[in-house]
Amino acid sequence: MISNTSHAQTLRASAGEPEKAESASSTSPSEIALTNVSKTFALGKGQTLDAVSNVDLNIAGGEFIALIGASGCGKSTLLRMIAGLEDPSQGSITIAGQSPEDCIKRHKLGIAMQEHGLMPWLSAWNNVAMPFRLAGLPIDKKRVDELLALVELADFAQAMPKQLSGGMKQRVSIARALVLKPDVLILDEPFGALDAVTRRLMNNELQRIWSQQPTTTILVTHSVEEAVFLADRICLMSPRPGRLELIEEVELNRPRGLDTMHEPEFRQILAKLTTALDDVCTQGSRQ
Amino acid sequence: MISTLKGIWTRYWGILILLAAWQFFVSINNINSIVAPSPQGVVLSLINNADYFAGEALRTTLTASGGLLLGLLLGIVIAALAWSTPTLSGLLMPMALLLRSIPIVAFVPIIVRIAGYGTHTVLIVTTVLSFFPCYVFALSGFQEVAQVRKDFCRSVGCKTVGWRFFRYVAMPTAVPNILTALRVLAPTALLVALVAEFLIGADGLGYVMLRARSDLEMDKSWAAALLASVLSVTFFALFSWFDKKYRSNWQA
Ligand SMILES: Nc1ncnc2c1ncn2[C@@H]1O[C@H](COP(=O)(O)OP(=O)(O)OP(=O)(O)O)[C@@H](O)[C@H]1O
Ligand SMILES: [Mg+2]
Repeated sequence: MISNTSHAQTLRASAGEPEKAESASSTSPSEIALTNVSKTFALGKGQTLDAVSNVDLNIAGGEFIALIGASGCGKSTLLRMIAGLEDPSQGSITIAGQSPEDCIKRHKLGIAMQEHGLMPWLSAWNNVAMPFRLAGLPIDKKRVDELLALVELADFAQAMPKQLSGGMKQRVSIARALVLKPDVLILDEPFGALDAVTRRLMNNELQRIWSQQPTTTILVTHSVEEAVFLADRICLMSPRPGRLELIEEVELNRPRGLDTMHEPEFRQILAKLTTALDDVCTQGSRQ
Repeated sequence: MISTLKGIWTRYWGILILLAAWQFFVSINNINSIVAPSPQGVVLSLINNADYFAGEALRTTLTASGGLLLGLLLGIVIAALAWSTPTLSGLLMPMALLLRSIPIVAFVPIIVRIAGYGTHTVLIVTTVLSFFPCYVFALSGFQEVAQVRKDFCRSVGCKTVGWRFFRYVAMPTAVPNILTALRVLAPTALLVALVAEFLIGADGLGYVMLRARSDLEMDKSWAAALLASVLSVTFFALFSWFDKKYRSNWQA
């Protein structure tokens, strides 16, 4: 775990421009600790559903975690709990030693979901500026411009969401999640609706953005390839109840490029995780 | 010129044929204009009394749009209060339904008793009858914020009940609903104003209809009715255009 932190940070220092690397060292991203976290939903009529069960996980500051698993196994529920949008039924979650709510109050959390959730009545620029307004902070115009440039949408600042493509909307949504300089970035299948080619491009961009910003990132994805390409560690969840079945370290060099996907190590991890995912899913359906 | 005429013909030939049939029917049967005036008579009456009709039509238009806007404003403000205080919304919704189900002919005399005779009473009636639909549309608009947007707001530390959320998210979310309310209510507001004028005897097109009929000036009465329906269509077209223009920015 500890080695992982330094690993991520050296990579960032080497990947980012000098001044970005400097800002990276000034704020340190938060580590996240999940202890015995469970979530049980009441379905009414006395029925309950165990969505997440006994999850223990420590995420180092600046680490990139990917969460994979069958549909309905509790990934989003786990993310929502980490983001403070849902309370765990049992166990505890801390971000930098404090509760997720504290993290939210300090504006240190950013989320981007599968549905981009942009405000259709606002331009891309105003959507990215929205967190400032909602948080009651003065709008840092330079920061908004910077973020739009980071996701390569500077030319589309005044475009309305309906004028943007699906991938562009997702990029605006990611820019919006990053604008308050969060220490923790939570992504729930942000690229789920995109085609394979756009998705790979977006993965590349996400990696670049992550390497420039000191951010602990948790990404839920259905694509094992995406997980292997982006993550430092991959967590595999088993369905009903959602448990962590397997945690796999990805020791591929960064920055990873399109050619990384053809490397034997990449193929090997991909094959291993795909098999494990298939196993977990078929077990689930046999029950 | 010819192409414009052709355009009018292809779009409105139904109405033109109806007018022709009406004129034909009235002249062939030699019907007295007290029973049914000819279209020619109606148009002549409109032209001969252009100033008079313009003045009365303007009056009715102003009262109707004034009542509509006041009702809208009131509806939005009360809906905002109801949004922030669920107990209030529980109290107001049955009242809204009750008031909506009273027929206007029964409603107007009650208001007249309280407020007296005059244009201000027409304004009050139009306001009250516009208020409740606006309130219902606005409130459901405020409550329609999608879960992803709520989650996003909470993730940046904005509670989904406070003023900031209302101003930046709930209020804009309700705009398409409010546009719909305006579009649907605009012709209704006009109709309500006309009926109120008619029942109260307050100046305006509704009263013109009433007085011309009792004076047996059927051309004038029909002219007022024609003008009223033209106004109603114009209202609808105007607010539909407005709706279309602004709604497009709400499609993600
Ligand atoms: N608010 C809720 N009330 C009741 N049950 C819920 C609620 N939210 C989620 N669940 C249930 O919890 C389980 C896990 O849901 P969750 O959304 O976390 O799955 P997921 O892993 O994100 O699936 P997917 O990959 O399809 O998004 C599901 O069985 C779902 O029906
Ligand atoms: Mg999910």
